[in-house]
Amino acid sequence: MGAGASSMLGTEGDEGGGARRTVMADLPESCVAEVLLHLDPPEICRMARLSRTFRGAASADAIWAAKLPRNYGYLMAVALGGDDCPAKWVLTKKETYAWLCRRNPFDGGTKEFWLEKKRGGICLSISSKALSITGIDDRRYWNYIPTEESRFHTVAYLHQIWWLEVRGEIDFGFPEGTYSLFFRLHLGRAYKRLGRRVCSPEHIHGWDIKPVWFHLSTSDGQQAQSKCYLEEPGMWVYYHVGDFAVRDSFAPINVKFSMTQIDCTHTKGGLCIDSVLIQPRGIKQQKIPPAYLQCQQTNGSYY
Amino acid sequence: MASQDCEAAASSRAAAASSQDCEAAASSRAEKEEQKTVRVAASSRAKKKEQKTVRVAASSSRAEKEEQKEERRTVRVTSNDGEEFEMDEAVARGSVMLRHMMELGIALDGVTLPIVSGEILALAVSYLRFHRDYDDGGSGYGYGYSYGYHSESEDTALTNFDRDLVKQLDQATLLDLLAASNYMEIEGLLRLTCQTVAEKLKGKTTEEIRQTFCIQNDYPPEEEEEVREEISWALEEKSLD
Repeated sequence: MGAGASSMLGTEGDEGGGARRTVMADLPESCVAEVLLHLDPPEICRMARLSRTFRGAASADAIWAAKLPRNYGYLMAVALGGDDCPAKWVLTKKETYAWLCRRNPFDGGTKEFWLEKKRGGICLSISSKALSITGIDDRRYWNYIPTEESRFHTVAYLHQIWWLEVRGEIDFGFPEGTYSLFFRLHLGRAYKRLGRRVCSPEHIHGWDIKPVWFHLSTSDGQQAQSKCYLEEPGMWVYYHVGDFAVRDSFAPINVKFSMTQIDCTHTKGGLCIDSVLIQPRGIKQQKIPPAYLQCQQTNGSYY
Repeated sequence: MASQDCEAAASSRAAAASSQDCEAAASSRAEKEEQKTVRVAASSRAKKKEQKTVRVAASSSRAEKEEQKEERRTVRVTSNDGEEFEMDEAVARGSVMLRHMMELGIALDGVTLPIVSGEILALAVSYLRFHRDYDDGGSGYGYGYSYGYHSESEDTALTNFDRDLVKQLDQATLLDLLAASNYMEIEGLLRLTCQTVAEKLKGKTTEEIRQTFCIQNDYPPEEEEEVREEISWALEEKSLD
């Protein structure tokens, strides 16, 4: 920060003369930027409305470079679909941040990632279309239904099945940190009738007999699993599978995850599978089911 | 004949003696040489030792003198209202501005800061003094014996000091101190004051901030609209889930 001082602190002359004290308007833009550095991005942007000095300070590269994830170059490449778009090189740090905050689809639109704007953490959603669902091709069991309640506009709907097995994986360069993985599920089939949302529970059965098992594992040997009885028909619920840690922003990690209920003494059905969500641990999640069980970081086999 | 014998004997004895003498002389000369060599060696060792002692004595006394001089090396900083502060050069180095002035040799007769009042300078000096003992004043220039690593208790002491320094300041004093730390280039103090001001900005509406901090809205209406557009990405609460 340069010493861009103006003659602002006290005037020469007697004390009683009322030395003029510094006000915010006196501070050079570099000082204002230094202040804004301690706020989060939405707040920084709001400050731009105060005055022209604040607007300039709020766009300072120094601020946004500190807010961006360390591997923003990689993230921009994914966001831009690998095209050598020259535009990405002329974006300011602030514009880069704003770009990453959008919904950035990749892998043919079956996945999306975005920067959580307050804290600058990466969130990622994997569509049901990118999951391996056993029996997905058999219309007696599964079909895809359109819905506006999914960011991918489609969910996989289960009528009934003995063997529920859903698997998926993702290769991605997460910035350093700890992440939680969830399955976004819904009991019952929702649709609009006369403008109101209605949920049809006709196929819901079997979820109270045995819990569903969730599992994740990473390419660097981390594992987590949990089990849960599916509950709360009519509501989208995030079922927490477990957490994993990323230690190196520049080393992409492979995460495999699954959801199974393969007890063949009973059938189950009436389930919508929307997506798998990965986000930094600690972001408040809506609608955690009360029967949620803490995941255990074990290597035990599961049934 | 006898005398001849005698003479011969004598001369031979003499000869022998003389040769003995010679030998003795030679040997004694050799001995003497040896001794001399030994003496010379000893004396040169002693000399060297002596020189070393002299050198050590000289350097330690020079170091002492330097140390004494360093302890006595202070810089006098005067505020714009005439208040004087004398501090060790090592402490003053926490201000990059003062450090440069000292390095350029233009601080020898003291420094007057035309834009910093006594009240503010006192706060800055107390910050520099306290931080000198714990770290490098946040300047990153590596002086001080901690080089940024602190024990937990040292960390607490630093945090407590920093917190106490700023918590009682009214807004005007806080901003004065912020501007002064920018001017004097005291990195740690600038960061501390900026963080404190940021805390005061959090959670307030634009209007509240304008009032609290007397910030004039210098936007014409079209520009205001432009700014609103520019920042809309950060404000919208899109929640699909």
